[in-house]
Amino acid sequence: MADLPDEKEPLLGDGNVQTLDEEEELTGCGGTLACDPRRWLHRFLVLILMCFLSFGSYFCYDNPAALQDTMVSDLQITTSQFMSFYAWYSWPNVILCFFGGFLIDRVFGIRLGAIIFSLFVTGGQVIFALGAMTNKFWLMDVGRFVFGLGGESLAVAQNTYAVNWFKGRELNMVFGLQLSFSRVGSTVNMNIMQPIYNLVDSHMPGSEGYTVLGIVLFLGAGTCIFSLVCALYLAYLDKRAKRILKKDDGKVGEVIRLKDLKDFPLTMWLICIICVAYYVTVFPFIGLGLVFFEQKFDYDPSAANAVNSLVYIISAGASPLFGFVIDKTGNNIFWVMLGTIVTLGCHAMLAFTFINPYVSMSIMGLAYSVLASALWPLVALVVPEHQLGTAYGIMQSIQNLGLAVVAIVAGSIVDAKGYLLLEVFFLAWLCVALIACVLLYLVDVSQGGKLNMSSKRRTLLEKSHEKSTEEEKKPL
Amino acid sequence: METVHFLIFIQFLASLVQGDVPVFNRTLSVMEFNPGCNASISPCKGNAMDTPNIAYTVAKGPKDSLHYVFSSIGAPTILVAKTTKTNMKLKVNWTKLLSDNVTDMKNSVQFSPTPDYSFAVVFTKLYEYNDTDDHANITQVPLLDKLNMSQWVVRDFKNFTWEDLSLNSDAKQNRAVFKTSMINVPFKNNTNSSVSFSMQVFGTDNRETIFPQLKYTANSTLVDVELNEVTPSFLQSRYAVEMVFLSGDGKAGIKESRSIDDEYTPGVFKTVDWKMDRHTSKQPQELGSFVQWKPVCYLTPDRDRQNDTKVKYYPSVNTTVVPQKSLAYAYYGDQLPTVVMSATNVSFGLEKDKFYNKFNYTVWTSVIGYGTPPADEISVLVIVVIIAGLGTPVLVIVVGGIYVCVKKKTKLKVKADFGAESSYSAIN
Repeated sequence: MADLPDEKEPLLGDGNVQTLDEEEELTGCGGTLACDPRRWLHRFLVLILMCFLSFGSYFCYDNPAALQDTMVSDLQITTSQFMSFYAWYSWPNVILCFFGGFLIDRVFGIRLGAIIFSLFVTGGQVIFALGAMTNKFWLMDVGRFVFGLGGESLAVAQNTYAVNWFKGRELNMVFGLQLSFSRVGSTVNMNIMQPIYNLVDSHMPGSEGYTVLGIVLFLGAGTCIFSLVCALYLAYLDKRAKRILKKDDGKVGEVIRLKDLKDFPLTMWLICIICVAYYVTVFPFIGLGLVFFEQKFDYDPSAANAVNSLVYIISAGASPLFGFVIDKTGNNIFWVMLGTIVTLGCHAMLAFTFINPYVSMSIMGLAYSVLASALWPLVALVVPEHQLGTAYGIMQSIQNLGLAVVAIVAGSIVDAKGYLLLEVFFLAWLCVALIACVLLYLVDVSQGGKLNMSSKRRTLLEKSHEKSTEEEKKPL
Repeated sequence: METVHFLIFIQFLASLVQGDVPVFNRTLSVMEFNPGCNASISPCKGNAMDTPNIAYTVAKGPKDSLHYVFSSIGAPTILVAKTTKTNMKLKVNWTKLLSDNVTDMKNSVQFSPTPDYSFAVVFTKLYEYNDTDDHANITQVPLLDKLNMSQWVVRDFKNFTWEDLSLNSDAKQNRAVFKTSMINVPFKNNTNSSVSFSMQVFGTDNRETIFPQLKYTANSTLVDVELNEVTPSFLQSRYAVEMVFLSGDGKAGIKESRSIDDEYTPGVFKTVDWKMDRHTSKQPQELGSFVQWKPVCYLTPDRDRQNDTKVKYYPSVNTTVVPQKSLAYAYYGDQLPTVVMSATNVSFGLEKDKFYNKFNYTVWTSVIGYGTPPADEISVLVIVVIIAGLGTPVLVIVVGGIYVCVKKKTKLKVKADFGAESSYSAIN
């Protein structure tokens, strides 16, 4: 699943904890350490539930990638048709990312919203599995579409819960933990789906490949049901905490106003271009990676899946680390450039050499973490706070649009012209990202260079800015 | 190891500049079927179900000519002779060639005057085995047990009967198709079953348009081996063909090479070359011959990529036995004791591809020819994209760098002109 801006700034929202005169008396089990919403253990348990909230959707998002070779053979589909599973996930999110916040804040509320999105995720995966079992390709696409309706919005709900429960100094850590957890979910998927397929296949000799595939995908839906249970339980606990602590419901708090778009500076659009041009070289590549590693490097499916999952597992650990480092050093544009150039080098290695892919994929995981940690915070520096919601929304919309289109194109390229040309295609996109990056730097330099400042200079500037505004307020 | 990878990269850059093999064209004569065989020779009358088949083409080039003789007599054979003499002709003694007495066949096919160099490739046997453990490896099946043949069916191509060549071939395109005829005993009662060998000669360098899109040269023949609805004997059948490579002068070896480029066969990065290099060490080194293929075969007639599977080869061995009834025997005849013969098996299939039984079809393409095997080169499209793609950011960086430098210089200049402190410093 593509990144959300949750990795950086907390979304707006004020989880007010009002302490009134009358506090509810908690009796019996409710008063124990684990059940008292004021105590840390309960919040820790709630954190675990929150982390598992989108585990199912991240797990099932990459089911196709983990089973590419068996899917293509069992369903008799081309690579391009296979990639439509990813395209249909992204299509609804081109528009839905504008409405996620609105739906949570005004229509459903956080608790019901999380449950509904979780239901979409579960339902989508079930339809996907049903389509596989009955060998109906169109039904599988419908399943992925429904899955997509829930997936990204569920992540927004997860972030909103986090802000509501952990606003303050713990929030960045919680965001990091949630993202790492999700990446772990993707990695687990990559590494166990093939063994599960083989297990089911060995127990059902003589059955059609697509029947086995359907059963395996139903088992994947089990993780979604588990996440749904977490959503239900979380809703109960949240409602209870609301009653006990008399706090407000979690709100996404963003306001999306499309008319803000005309105010966006050039730098914002360059950031969008970098975002889409970079991300389309990561996620569609992982989608197609299994067969690529099997065929070019002669890996068996389990080794190929392990290599393919490296980007996820490394970013699970490296993202929080780089987030911390980049916060300390600033110079965001240089970090973005570094991430792009290094990823370019990795794709070149994979395309033009037979160097062990463990090397290139590990480095790609690091480069991806660097870029994600450096890119999203730039948005907050170019766009005023009240327009942030719209800014993140448009960035994600463009990102999903790019992913949907490039997924299909990438699949077609592989079918017609092979993997060398696919890699060259990705290299071309990275060059686009690099050009946008250089242009961003130049535009920034011509405007005073505040995007690429080291954090030292930035704090100095902020301080002198504060001081000068203070000075202005003093009577002469 | 890393140096090798780097060298591959440099090699691709170098191949942009020059091609590997000198490019020239050959003019091809229209393919003749059964030259010299007319109704006055009694075996030549033949019958539709079992006809003697010889196809003959001459490819005339600027410096030398290649004479191609394809036949299904005895076993599907490709015989190629190279000569610099323009008057070399094929002479077939049909009575001897088709005689029931096998020893009469010796030397019944001749070239006059003798060619400078010749080689032949014979498809000798069709193996079918029951791959109960799904290894797709013929060396891992229980060895042929004389008492118990239950896991194998071995069919000698000399026992097959072939349709009339002219029914399926295209003389103008220089394409000969040898197809087994319906009355074949080894196959069960399926009227569509056939094994066919298609051999097409080319006079120019080019590439076939269907997968595996092998490159061919003016010195080569494209050979397709097709197993069409051959009723499998087992539930988990796999097939292999045995081939023998002969030459009057040579030493043979199989080598597999790896390339970064899979443009023409998506997903296949390897090429296998079975080369017969010249044994004599004359300088400049004389050209030998080759059989080249990519380790891929297709399980459907439209050769779509989702139903491709692997072709495995096994180490070649030197042999002394060639099917006696074949064209190779007829040509080399008395020379056979001195002829170099190398044999190998090529098997079709990969683990988990659901065996031959899934589609009951396999087609495999190879290129057989004289000289150096064709080498794939990276296409112009890739080069252009790389240069444009990597060049543009470099250009932007350079231009941008200049811009930044110029800006900094003018800023310094402004500072120097107006004194050390700019008049817009902070008030305090």
